[in-house]
This record gives sequence, structure tokens and C-alpha cells, in this order.
Amino acid sequence: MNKLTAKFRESNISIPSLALKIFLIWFIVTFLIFPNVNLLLNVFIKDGQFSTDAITKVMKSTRAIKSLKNSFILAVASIVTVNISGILVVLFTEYFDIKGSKLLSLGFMTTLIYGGVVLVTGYKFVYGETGIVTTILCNLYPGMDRQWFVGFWAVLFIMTFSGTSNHMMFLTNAIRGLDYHTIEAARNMGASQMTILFKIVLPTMSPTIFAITILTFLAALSTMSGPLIVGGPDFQTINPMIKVFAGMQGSREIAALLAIILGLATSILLLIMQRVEKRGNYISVSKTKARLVKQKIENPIMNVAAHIVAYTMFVIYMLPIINVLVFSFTDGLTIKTGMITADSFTLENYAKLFRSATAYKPYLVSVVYSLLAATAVAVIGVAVARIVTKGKKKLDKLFEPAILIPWLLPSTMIALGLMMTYDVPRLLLGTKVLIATPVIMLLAYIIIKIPFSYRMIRAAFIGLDANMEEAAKVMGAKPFYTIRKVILPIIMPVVLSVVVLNFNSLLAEYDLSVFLYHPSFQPLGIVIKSATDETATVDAQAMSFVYTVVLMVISTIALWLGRYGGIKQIKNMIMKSKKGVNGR
Amino acid sequence: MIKYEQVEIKYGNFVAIENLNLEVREGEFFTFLGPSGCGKTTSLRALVGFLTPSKGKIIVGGDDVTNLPVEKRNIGMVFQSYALFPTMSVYENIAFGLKVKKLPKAEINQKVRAVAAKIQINDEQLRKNVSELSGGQQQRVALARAIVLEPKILCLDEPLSNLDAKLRIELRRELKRLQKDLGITTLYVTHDQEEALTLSDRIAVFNNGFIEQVGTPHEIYNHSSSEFVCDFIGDINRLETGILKKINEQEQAGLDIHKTGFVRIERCIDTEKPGYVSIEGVVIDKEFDGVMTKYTVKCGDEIIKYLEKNDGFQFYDEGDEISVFINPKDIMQF
Amino acid sequence: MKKAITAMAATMMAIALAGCGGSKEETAPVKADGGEETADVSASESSGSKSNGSDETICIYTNNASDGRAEWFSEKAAEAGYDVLIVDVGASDATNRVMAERNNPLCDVLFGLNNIEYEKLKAADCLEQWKPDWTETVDQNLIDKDGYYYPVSTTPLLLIGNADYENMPSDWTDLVQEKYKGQYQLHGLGGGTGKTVYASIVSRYKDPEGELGISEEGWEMAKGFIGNAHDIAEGADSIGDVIDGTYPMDEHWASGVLTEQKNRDYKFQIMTPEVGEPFVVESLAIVKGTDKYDLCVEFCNWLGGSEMQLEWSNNFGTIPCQQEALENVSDDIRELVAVLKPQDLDWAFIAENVDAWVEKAELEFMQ
Repeated sequence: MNKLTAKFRESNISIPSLALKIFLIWFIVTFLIFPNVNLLLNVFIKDGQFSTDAITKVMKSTRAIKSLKNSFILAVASIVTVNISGILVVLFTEYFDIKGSKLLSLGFMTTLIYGGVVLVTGYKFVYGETGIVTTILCNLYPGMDRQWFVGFWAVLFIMTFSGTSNHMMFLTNAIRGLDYHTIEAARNMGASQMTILFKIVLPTMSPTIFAITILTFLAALSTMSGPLIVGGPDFQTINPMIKVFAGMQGSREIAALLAIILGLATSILLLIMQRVEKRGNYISVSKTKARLVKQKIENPIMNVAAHIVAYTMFVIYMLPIINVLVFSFTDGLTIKTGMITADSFTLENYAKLFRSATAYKPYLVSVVYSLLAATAVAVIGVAVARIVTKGKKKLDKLFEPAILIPWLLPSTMIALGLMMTYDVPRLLLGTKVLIATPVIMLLAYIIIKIPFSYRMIRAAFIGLDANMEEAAKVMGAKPFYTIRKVILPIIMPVVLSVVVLNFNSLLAEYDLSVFLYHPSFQPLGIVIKSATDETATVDAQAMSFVYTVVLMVISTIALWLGRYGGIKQIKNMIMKSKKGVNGR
Repeated sequence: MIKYEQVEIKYGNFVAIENLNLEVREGEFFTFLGPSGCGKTTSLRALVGFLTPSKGKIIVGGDDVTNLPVEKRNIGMVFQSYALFPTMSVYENIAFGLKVKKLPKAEINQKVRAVAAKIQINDEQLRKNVSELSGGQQQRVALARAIVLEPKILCLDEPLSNLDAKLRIELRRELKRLQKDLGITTLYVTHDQEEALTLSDRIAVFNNGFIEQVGTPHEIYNHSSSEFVCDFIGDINRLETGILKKINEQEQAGLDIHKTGFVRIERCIDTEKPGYVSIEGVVIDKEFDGVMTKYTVKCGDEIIKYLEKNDGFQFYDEGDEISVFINPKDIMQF
Repeated sequence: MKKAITAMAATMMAIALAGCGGSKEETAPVKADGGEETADVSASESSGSKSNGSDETICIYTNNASDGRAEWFSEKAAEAGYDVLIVDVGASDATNRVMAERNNPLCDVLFGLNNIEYEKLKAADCLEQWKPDWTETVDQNLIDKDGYYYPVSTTPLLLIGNADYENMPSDWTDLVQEKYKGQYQLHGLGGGTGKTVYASIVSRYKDPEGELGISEEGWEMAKGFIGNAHDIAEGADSIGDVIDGTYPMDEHWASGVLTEQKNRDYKFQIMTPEVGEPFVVESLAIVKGTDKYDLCVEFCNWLGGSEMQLEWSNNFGTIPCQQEALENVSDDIRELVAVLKPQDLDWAFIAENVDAWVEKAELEFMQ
């Protein structure tokens, strides 16, 4: 035994870190690799034979090919447009001196609190046949087709202005961390504002922009609501098709094949991004950083133009959410027809929601699930990010590709993989059956959020000064203590941002939940969907808005707490009251 | 107190330190001096415990600490980047190690304030966030954070390199005073020879993973044991065959004319003294810094520099023909 | 409380992280973390087995629960002395779930699914045989010959049209004509309505030699039917589109048609093909593996009985299978039923093939 510990010491292996690694390897194998491999084997092997039917079928299907093509077109196009709008949004609120930037940023933050069907419906209300913008345009150009908001451009438009959440969260951080001295130095050397922006500011932020680009690409590839609602016959994408086929037992191999094609595209993008990223050095070399001072745009014409663009974007962001808010107070027919009259307004929808004694339950279920999942994901993300950034062995680096696997598969497939794998006792889980337990959905929530969380947390770790940890060690702090007291507080802003984003996006999760939820614990997504089902009455859509508005409130609270200093404010309040008591 | 015994340290396949043997005495201010990449920081980090030697032992106070975890070694360290915790106040930074030790609050408070007084950090500054302090103050906090734990050994890794010249000298003095007051065995890593000479009791000069020489500042400076050492420390004149021949002709110095001779520039003078030989040349450059003037004199094909203290008299000008005098005993050959 | 949560989160994270450093103290928390998860599993098991364990609650999967039905239903059940847990899932999702949960069944009773789904479940050995006490009073043709599922209500699927639309077709097969292009709305083939209507058309062309059991002619028909249609966009108001004439025809289920007529104060045209309309029969079944079989049978006797079905119809406009209940339904239902007749469909054949047909349609015919 002594020899063994000595050996451990010699090879620099600590037992807890080994235990953690074993746990992570078990987790990855059990939940990220095995179910998905099992699913693929299951669907492609028929009667003991590997079947290539799916390939033939897909090749024959003009619809599948066209949808795939559309998905890729949308993904590539939205990389460009979402980055443009996202970067603009951040520049307007953080970099340039724009009047009323506080108000602007409130508007730009709206994408953080709602999404999916409701968001797209919101846009449809604004730009659709009966929408306010369409009406105004029709007054200006009487001959105009009222159904203009349809197809690729409509979908891309919505993506462009609704996909900027990650920019708001992470690019904002990056730009705040910019060393102002570099900007001053550039000015000193005679650079114009334009040159500084494009040669200094944006390149410095490129690691964050790369990470966000990947997220944008993935979001566009897997988008459902946009094409379904405003895509029209000419612009349908592949993900709804995958979902339909995944739901049909006999057709899962087609779903799997389509998913694999998307997965391959994603991995290619990930590889390219990694290459590009490796080429540059983005770690700040500054010893002392200066705080960013907002830049006043010197050219008066440009300044006016920037203000106009900023406020136009603000209006674009605000109109849908205002529509959703307004319509949540109207009856179903008003929503369907889009005609608001004086007696459209009612509180009945809200009354209906809160009248039922159990109305709060799905909220509670979803809040608990999302919170547990978001927390667990953060823990795993932090652990893996640390192993990958700190580890010296080759094996340590392998955690990264493994942990990114869920990015390669649509969430529907991940749900199926779990269902089809853990419906029988498996040794990996100590022969426990997962299906039909409340745990399986929690696990699925965790799984789908891992890659995003890891990617963002890793970035935080890379920026960390290694001496910091050593300093704590020298002062006698054990690893556990060091991490809790020193490392975590430093990376906490990023971790909290990740937790909040995950929490908010899981609150109304539907795609996974529909397969995995436990009947006793129905999450919001399921309840909303069944309240707004096609078989439901005209009020259904009004109800979905009511649910969403309540969700927005919860999301806003989460956002405030996790990201905008809510926790600190509460802490201060408690401290103050304590101080008052102690009379210090 | 500290002993390195046949220590070898590797990064992957690269051998950073090969067979290091060194002893540091109790209470000593000991400096690792050398250019960057010479292994001085590596040796220090092995002592602190961030690196584990692939061979050999490190002994502190008679105990083998080679495999002891960092946090159990009771060695204080100040980093080049200070590594102050940005999320904590100055007070919390200093109190960190004491809290780890789970000392009572009152004792922590008393110790923090005591050390703060020693390094001239006032109460108001204690409450500030570390990012609100100037560089010099941050440096003091980093030092306070280390010494508040009353370590057996204090390690300083280029602690002054991020400061401006004046502050550097000021803090250097303070550091020396503090070290003497506390009597802590101190290991100091630097590439700055002036820092090393002014601060140290003894210096180890590192080169390429080896120690070239260990000795007092006086020994290192005046009796360098290798070309590397005398070249690295101080300003030096390289004397080649032509001048060496001239010296041998004037005085039976017995210098080997096939080897370079080295002589400190301040040992060369422009007035005749017994035992000195004279070399003629032409002044081609002068640098005046207020206290001293450094002349560059071209003697044949070679260059000799010498220093003259400012005595209020007129300088030589470029083009003046002068004699430089050198004592052959000052010439080092290896 | 949020503070506590962040503190918890921080601690959890620290626990997971600390392992990388290397000191004995951390092994315990890491284990505690894992322990928490096992605790979760066991907790879930106790609640998961609620339907099995606490023998009172009957877990029902149904596609018949939206729009206030679930609340009404559980109230009624409670009055009758049953504690029920109603899970609102789409028909095919319910089937998928029950199949997936084979080794750990949660559901006791399935209610409202159609023959297609029950046939699949029967084939997968997921149902329990049983016999209600009301078989005498329902149409014997609707009863599963193997005794697994029993009819409760029927839902005819109709093509409705704008009241002023002049070209109302006389059968689904007419819709392939050029003049109907873009005039009728097609529901997603993943859902019950769209799928059944489609199957009712395709299965008319049964040909053992043909692809997927359907003749060449049948596939031509399917292609035309789907190709000519307007696909309903998510969230679109399909009924509203019929009324304002944007897309003057729509597939709809009978009870929904009645409700919409009432809500919107409108009278639709209804197509009545000579072959009849596809009548979806909504049935009751007991899931294999339930440990309260007797209670389930008793419950199903109550649920499928005349009295309950009449009340159901009065509240939600369904067409009960119980003879006695049917005689007492509201006038508009009776009026509607009078003009409709069930299309003769080979449900076993449809159940066996419909997924493949849908797959083919999704891949090749849809645009």
C-alpha cells in the first residue's frame, strides 16, 4: 500500500483527481457515447444486417435534399447576419457612446427571456398579413403583397435579430475586458476609429466571436419554429423532418442519417474554428489594464447613422415582445385574426392560468429541473474545462471531443438514445432502469447543455493567471479550498451567465421533454404545448402567451440574479440589515 | 537550511535542470541570478513544490520535502505577477492564508494589521479592492500576504520587475530591511545583477540549467569563476591579443595572449599608478550620468571602456588622445 | 433563497473541481455528489412506482385531455371514487412511451388512441387482455377480436369547406384535380388527423404486389393529394383561413367542427363521400404490467359506460359508441352523425403499413 501511494506521488497522480476523472469517464461513456452508439446501431442494423436503405431513401427524396440545403444556407447566412447584428448590438451598448444606451440594452436583452414558437409568432404578428409593419407599408405602397413576410428572408430576418443572446451575454464581457491602453496606443499611432474597431477591437474579441459563431451555426441548423411558421412552402429546413421521422419507429434510420449529416457539418465547422483559433494569440499581454471608455463617434454623419441604426434595431427587438405582451391580454380570436378592438382585452387568460389550483406546479417542476440541470452542467463544465486546460497528459485532452458529442446530434435523437438504451437494466448504471423515472429527463437536460457550457467555461479558464492558484497553495490552501475561494469567484461571472442561459432555455424545453418527462412531474413545455395544441380551442394561443409572459418574468428574475448583480444587491441588503442590527 | 541534492528537473523530454547541488544557510538572503530560461525560476518552483524533480532530493531543515505537497511546506512566495486575488479586498488577500489555518478572527485581525503597518499599508487601503492599488502597493500586498504566515522560507520570483526604476530601488531597500528584521531565509530570483549584488548575502549564477558560480557578491564580482559570470555581471572590457601583448611587454604579467582577458571597466583609470601598465588610445564616446562618466577608448583594433568619477573638471572630448591604465592583476582569464 | 442556491452551486462545483488538485479530504464530497444522484434515483423510484406502489392512483395516458378535459375528467373520476393521474400525450407519443416503458411501466390505462396505435401496441405485446361489462351495447364490429381494446367514442374525419365555396368535392380523391391546387389544407402526417385521412385514401388501393402493399395508381393518388395541398404552418389559424377563404377547405375532426361552428358562429360545408368518412374509433385498453388490473377493469367499466360517455359528449361534443348514450346526445351531433357513415377500412393493414406510407409521403410527396 505504501508503495502504491509512493508510486502515485511519483507519477503525480492524486487520488481525488483520479476519482473525478473516473467519474467523468463513466459519465461520458454512459450518457454521451453508449446511448448514441446504441441508437445508431439499432436503427441501421436490421435483421443483423447493416442497412443502407436510408441513404437510398434520402437521396431519392427531393424534399430531404432541399431541406438539408436550406438548413445549410440558413446556417451559413445566419453566421454572417447574426454576427453583424450581435456585434452591432454590443458595440452600441458597450463600445460607442450612444445616447440612451441603457434603454437600448434593455431592448436587446429581450431575446434572453423568450424564444421559440412564441418569439417567431411575435414576429409574425408584427410583419405578417395583419401586422403593424405590413399595414404601414401597405399604406405607403398600396399595391404590396400583404403576405410578404414569408420564406428564406423572413426566417433569416428573425434569426438575425433573435439569435443575439450569446453576443449579449459573452461578447459584452469580452469587450468590457478590453485593455483601453491598446485603443489609446492605436490612436496615438494615428489610427482612425474605423481602423481601431476593425484592427484592434474586433480581433481581440475574436475567440469569443468564434465561440459564438459555432453556437449560431448550431442554432440555425437545428431551428424549428422559424421555418415552420414563416418558412412557407419554399423554405422548410431539415430539423422538423428529423423530428417527424424520429417519432416514427420504422423511420428512425432516416432521422439518424439526416442527423449524422448535420453532425458531420458541425464537426467540420468545429475543426475549422479550432484551426483558425490556434493561429492567433489572443491572450492579453498587458500588465496593467485600463478601463474601457465609451467612444464617441467623431464623424457627425456616422454618429447620426449609428444612432438611427441602433434605434431601428431597438424597435425591431421590441415590437414582437410588445405584441406578445399585448396579445396575452386579448381573447383567442383577436390573436388569430390580429385585429385589436377596444373589447378585445381581457384578463380571462391570466385568471384561467391562476384559477387552477395546480397551475403553479409545472412552473415549479420546470424551475427545479432547470436549476438542477443548469447547476450540474456548470459543475461538469467547470471540472472538464479544468482538466482540459490544466491536464498535461494526452488522455486529458480527449475529454474535450468527448464532451462535445451532444452538439453533433439533435436533441430528439439524444432523447431516443437514452430511451432505447436504458429501458433495460445495464451494467453501466448498476442495472437500474432509467426509463419512466424522473431522473432520465434531468440527465437529458444535462447532456444537451454540456457542450455549450463547457465551451464557454473553458474560455474563462484560459484567461486565468496560473500563479493565482499557486499563490493560494503556497499559503497553505488545499485544492478544494483554493478552488472554492480563489478560482471560482474569479470565473463565477461566466459560470453564472452560463447557468442563467441554460436555466432560461430549459424552462420551456419541449423536444426532449416530450419523450422523457415523468407523468407526475410534467414540465412547462409539455403543459404549454398541450394547452396550445391544435386540438385545443381558439383560446389556446392566448394561453401560450400567458404562459410565456409568466415565463418571461421568471427568466428576467433569473437573469437579474445571475448576471446583473442581483445576488450582490441582495447580499448588500442583508449585510445592511445585519449592520443595522449590530449597530456597527 | 535548504539543500538541493543532485536535482534534475524535466519538462517532458527537455532537461531544464541537470544535477543541481546547492546549500542555502539559515537566515541567508540568497539570490538565483541568470538570464531568462537559465533554470533559476525552475529551481525555485521545485523548492516551493510546484515542480517535482525527476531525480534527486530537496531538503529543508533536515527533512526531505521532495514530494511534500505545496501547501504543507510553509514556504512563502511572491510572484512576478503578484497573483493577488482580484475578487478579494486587500485585507482578505492578506488574511487568506491565516483563514486557511483557521486562526481565530481576533488573531487574524491583529496579524494582518501588524504586517500592514510593517509594509506601510493603511487602514483605508486595507479595505480597497486590490485592483484599486498602484503597482508598488500591490507589490507590498503580495509581500505582506507571504510574510504574514511567518514562513520558514520566503521565495521571491522577480518581484520588482514590474515597477519603475525609482520605486524598484526604494522597495529593494525595504525588502532588505524587512528580511533582516524578520530573519527569514530568503530566496530571490532575478535577472538584474544590480538587484542581486545589492540585496544578497550570497548569489548563485545560473546558466543553461547549471550553476556557474556560488559566492558572495564580492566574490562573484571580483573573482568570477567563468567567462559567463564575469560577462553577465557588471560591465567588462574584453582584452584580446594586441593589448595583452602590450601588457606582457610592459610588466611580466604572464598573461596568455591566446585567451581573452577580462577586466572590469571601473578598474581601468586614466592616471598613472604603480603596478599599472598604460595603453594609448583615442576617445571615441563618452556617457555622462551625473556621478560618473563612461569613456570609450579605441586602442588599436580594440576598445577599452573606463569610468571616471565626476570631480568638477573638464571632460575629455571625442578625438582626444589619452592613456588608459590597467593593473594586470585585475585581468581575469579562464 | 437564491443566495443559498448559488452557494450550493458553488459548493457543488468546488467539490467536483477539487479532485484535480490532490488531497484526501476531497474524496468524501465527490462521493457525496454521486450519492446525491443515487438518492435521486431512489427517490424517483419511489415516486416512479407510485402507480404501482400506492395502489390507489390510476395513471392514464390519453390524447383526450387538452382544453380542460383533463381537469373535468379527473374531477369526474374523483366523484366516482377514482384517483387518477392524467397524462396528456399525442397518440403516437403515447404509443412510443408505452413501448419504451415496457420494462418499467408507468401507465395503467390507455384512453382515446385509435386502432392504428393499439394494433402496434398489441403487436409489441404491451397490452393486457380484458373485457368490460358494456360490450353488449356497442357496435360489435368496432371491438378488437383479440379482446385487447374496446371502443368508447368515434371521431369522423371530415373535409370542411367555406360556406360559399362552390367547388366542394365529393370525395378526397377529387382533390388531386388541378382546380384544387392550394385550395385545401393538409395537417401534418405525424398527427392523428393527417395520418388517418392519408391512410384512408392510400389504403383504398391495396395491392399485395405494389410497393408497400399499394398499387401504382394509389401512389399517383397519394402524390397528387399531398402535392396539391397547402401545408398548414405552425400556429396558423386553419379554420380562420377556411372562413375567410384564404384556403377554403380543411381536414377536421367532427367534434372540433361542431365546437368551431359554435365558437365562430359559422356553418361549414361538409363533404360526404360515397365511401363514407374515416371514422377514428377511440378505444380503451389496459397496459401490460400494471399491478392493479382489477381496479383498472373496474375503472374502464365506469369510463366506457353509457352514463359517463353521454356526459363526455355533452361537454365536449364527442360521438359516443354506447348505443344508449348516442341516442341522447345533443341535436347538432345527432344531425351530423345522421349524414355520416363510417368508411370501411382495413385497420390491421393500415396499422402495419401506415408508418412506411407516411415516410414515403414525407420523403417523396411533400414539398
